[in-house]
Amino acid sequence: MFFYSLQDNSKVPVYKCTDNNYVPYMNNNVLNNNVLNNNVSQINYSFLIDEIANNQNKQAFIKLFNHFAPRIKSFVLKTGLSLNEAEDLTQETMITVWNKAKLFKSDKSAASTWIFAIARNKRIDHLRRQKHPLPHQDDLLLASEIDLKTHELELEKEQTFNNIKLEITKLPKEQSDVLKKSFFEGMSHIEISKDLDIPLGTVKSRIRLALTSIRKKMKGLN
Amino acid sequence: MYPKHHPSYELLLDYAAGNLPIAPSVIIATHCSICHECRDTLDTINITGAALMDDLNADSLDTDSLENVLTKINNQPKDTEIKYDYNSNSLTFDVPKTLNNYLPKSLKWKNLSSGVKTAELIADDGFNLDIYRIKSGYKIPKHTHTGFEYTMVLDGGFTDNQIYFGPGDFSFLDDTSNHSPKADLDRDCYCLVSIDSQIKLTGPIGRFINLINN
Repeated sequence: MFFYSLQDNSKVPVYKCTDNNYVPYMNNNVLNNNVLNNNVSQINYSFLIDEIANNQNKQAFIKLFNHFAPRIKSFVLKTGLSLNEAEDLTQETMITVWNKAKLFKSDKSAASTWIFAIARNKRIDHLRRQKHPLPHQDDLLLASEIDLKTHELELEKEQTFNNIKLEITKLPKEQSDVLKKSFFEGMSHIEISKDLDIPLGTVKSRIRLALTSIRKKMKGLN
Repeated sequence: MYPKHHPSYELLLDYAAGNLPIAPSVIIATHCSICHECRDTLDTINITGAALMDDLNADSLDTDSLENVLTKINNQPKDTEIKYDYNSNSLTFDVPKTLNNYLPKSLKWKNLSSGVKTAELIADDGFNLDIYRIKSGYKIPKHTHTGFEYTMVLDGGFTDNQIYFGPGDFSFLDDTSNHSPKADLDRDCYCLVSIDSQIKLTGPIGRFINLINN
């Protein structure tokens, strides 16, 4: 079994670790050199998730863990939960990433979007005792939908994410502040208006302006 | 189904970030499950949330964190396929699967008034989630709300303040809204409705009296 290097499409067969009982911290040349470490910002997280889905690749999982777990913990702490809760939710999120890696295949989003959404929903479930309702995939029956998923598209997805990230840093502070209050401080738009002591209409228009410009950027990129 | 009336951006953000109670969240999730446009907006919101999270300073984990996770992964049962519970319910039309987790096998219908029956799905977090069945041609007397009202049409349709709401359409009303929805003439209208339970305190009879007094 072979897979191909993503960077240059040169189709060089590479050795792959298929040992399910793989011992962590062992050096794995494939993942360290060929695909993943050419450039830190170029790590293809989608590819790592596919590796988990297809080959239960523990090294790929460890790479994901090292990037995402500390950020997830930081997020949960920021929302006001305790250190213990943050550690637990982080671990639960990463276990879900492992278990649901196969579901990512049908997802059109970047790895970061998928993983952080799992983390957010874990936090919501934790606070509510009831599962956060998510739109069921089957409800949107699109006969014409074709599965175009290839590694090239995945690279594009990851690139889109990085571009959007850049776009968000360019938002006016008053807009990004409102978004941060929503994601990190658990405030509804009504609560944000009270907290900042600004009219509801102002909060709504900040949200609208921010999301519209991000959406435009997304459309332009696709 | 191509819904024409959608939740606003700020409601979609509240929903996705987990800042809405469960009952209205279920309505918004159900609407999004059948609406391309709102799914696009949700994608935008999700990528925004992820980008903000990716920018956070990385906190240090417990030293045995990774080891714990790997142990748990190794020790869990192999079969972790996600199963959906396909409830057979007593409704005569197709219901989005998003609702499956909340539909009891048989709905307990209660009369709210001569033309409206309701069946409760969730009572939690200060909001109720009910299915309303409005008799064909019935017009709910003019009324206002003391809180918020979230609605999505499941089957049939109604006209309210000269605006038509068909299957999939979403409506959000606050305490300033005065309305009097009228169901289609040819069939009963089924809606998902979530209202602040403040209204519920007056009980079904009180609610009915409220309705006719207005």
